[in-house]
Amino acid sequence: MSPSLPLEDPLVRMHRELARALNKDPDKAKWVMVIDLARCIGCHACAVACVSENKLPPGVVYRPVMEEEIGAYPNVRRRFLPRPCMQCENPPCVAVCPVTATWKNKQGVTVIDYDRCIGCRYCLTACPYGARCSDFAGFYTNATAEADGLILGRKAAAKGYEDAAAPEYGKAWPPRGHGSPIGNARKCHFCQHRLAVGQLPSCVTSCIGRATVFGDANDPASYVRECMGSPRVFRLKEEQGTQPNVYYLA
Amino acid sequence: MAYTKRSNPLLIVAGLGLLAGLYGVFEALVYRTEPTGLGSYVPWGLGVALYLLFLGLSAGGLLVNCLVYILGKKELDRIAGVVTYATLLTEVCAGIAIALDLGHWERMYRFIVSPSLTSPMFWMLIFFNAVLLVYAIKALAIVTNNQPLARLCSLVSIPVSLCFYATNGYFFSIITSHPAWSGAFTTIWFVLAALLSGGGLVTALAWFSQDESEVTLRLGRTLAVLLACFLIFEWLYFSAGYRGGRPDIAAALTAMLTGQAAWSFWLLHIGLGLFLPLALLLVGRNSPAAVAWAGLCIVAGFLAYRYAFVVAPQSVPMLPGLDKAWQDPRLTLTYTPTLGEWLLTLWVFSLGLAGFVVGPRLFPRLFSRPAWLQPLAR
Ligand code: SF4
Ligand code: SF4
Repeated sequence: MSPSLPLEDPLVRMHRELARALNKDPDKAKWVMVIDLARCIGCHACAVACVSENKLPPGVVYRPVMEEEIGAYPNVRRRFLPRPCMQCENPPCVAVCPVTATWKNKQGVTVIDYDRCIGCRYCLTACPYGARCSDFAGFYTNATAEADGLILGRKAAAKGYEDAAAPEYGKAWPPRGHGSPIGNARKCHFCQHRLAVGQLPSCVTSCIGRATVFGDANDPASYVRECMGSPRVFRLKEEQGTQPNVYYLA
Repeated sequence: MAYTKRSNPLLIVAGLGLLAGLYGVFEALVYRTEPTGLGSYVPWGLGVALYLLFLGLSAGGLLVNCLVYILGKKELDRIAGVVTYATLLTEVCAGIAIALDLGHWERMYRFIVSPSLTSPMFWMLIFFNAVLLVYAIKALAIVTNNQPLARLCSLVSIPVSLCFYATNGYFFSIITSHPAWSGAFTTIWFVLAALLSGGGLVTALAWFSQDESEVTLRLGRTLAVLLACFLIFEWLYFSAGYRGGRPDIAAALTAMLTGQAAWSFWLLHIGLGLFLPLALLLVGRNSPAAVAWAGLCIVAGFLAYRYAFVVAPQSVPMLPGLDKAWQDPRLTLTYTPTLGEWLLTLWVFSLGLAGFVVGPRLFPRLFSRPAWLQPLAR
């Protein structure tokens, strides 16, 4: 077997390291993500997995994958760049919130209290990465025709998705009516509810190229720390002074 | 001006506007931001522009108090009552506009129970209420003929109002992710813009509501200076923006000049709001009516300026290609206000108009010269 091939799936390693971090003092962990652009094939699986995991409505997306065409014909390539929340060390979105509805938690993740957010959207304009969305109360199934039965029609479709509780921040958010998170700012939170039960974020497990690496930056032996030391590493909009906790490998 | 028969058509217009606009209010109260044309990449639109317009109109009080108490133009104190009323009314309109723009207006109590001192929006609210309070006390002082208290309120209102208008500029100036908003320049420009639009309103009121020709002409001269300063600032803004070499700033400026709402920028803001009043102020500088019309033109053109300032910079993506990454009408860089948003705007305007028309009936003492100036009456 070629020594360049990994002996185990990186997901298995990340999972093991996640358990290790949680078994120590979980508050001492510092969650960081590294996205290897050379491995991203632009399949958008992470974006869709995230939408599905967090029961996101139309118009709300936490991890879109941006595409860029580079070069000139015939030497043309496409480049893909997934853009989750950068979980900035110095997040402009937090400082502007007038009601302290958003803050950085102990593990470095920027979180939102949906019951406190007044929906002013100041944080949306302040985020240099466009990483926040406002929930404008969209429904995927609005235009779906009604039909009898358990698998056809609007009711059945809604049951499988929109009428299911969103699990964010460890709370079962009620089916979409007019209450939160409708009217709130929403963003990627590294799947807090999954981390709490020892699961990796949904975008990490769904990445078929294993391009998304996640783990505890305070663990010197972790895969994520290894990637952070790569000479290919860079961060988006460094000049803004936000110090993102999402790194990219060029 | 007492309430006269010529007020009736205006009252009917305001009444019709209030009636038609009710639908916009209903939508905003019940469905909040859902029926708006806003999205996550253009999260601020007509509601924020409307708020900025009315908060600017409330700066007439600051302008008159500065002229009376700092520059010694005592004759302007004759319109202290109507100016105080205008400040209060326009602040109320601004407050309604911005409250109804929130995704959860019912949670506004959060400003008190979980405030954030690092947020300019929090300080904006503090100074907003401070201005409201000072002017409410001043109105009471004028009505009860308490000159020392009115004078004290006027003096206190100067720094408080300056903080308020500056905070509104600061609110935008710290948003470095939209470089066409950011920078200390915005803070100063906001104060100037507020003085100009508020000055336009009180100048119109001094003539149309008070028949004060001397005061109107004095305010007209001040308006001309403010207008000239504003033009210089606007030129600096575009010139420095284009020559600074930042493509994102240049793109935002181009969106203002040639984008979707460019017609309103050129026709309403530049034409109606700046050049027409400038011409009126120059040609008709000795005619109170011409000066008052110039003031009205400034007021009318200012919504277009606020709209362009708010919306155009948001049409530049935070990251190149972000708007193409996930297709949804809420994730685009364009914004078109919906009928509900226009109706809400109409309602707020109509409320302001109705307030000015019925003001003399409800508060006759505010619409006449303060009692302590009565002996000076011509
Ligand atoms: S990427 Fe945006 S939303 Fe996320 S922490 Fe940074 S500033 Fe806040
Ligand atoms: S939208 Fe919510 S989280 Fe964002 S600044 Fe306003 S209150 Fe805070």
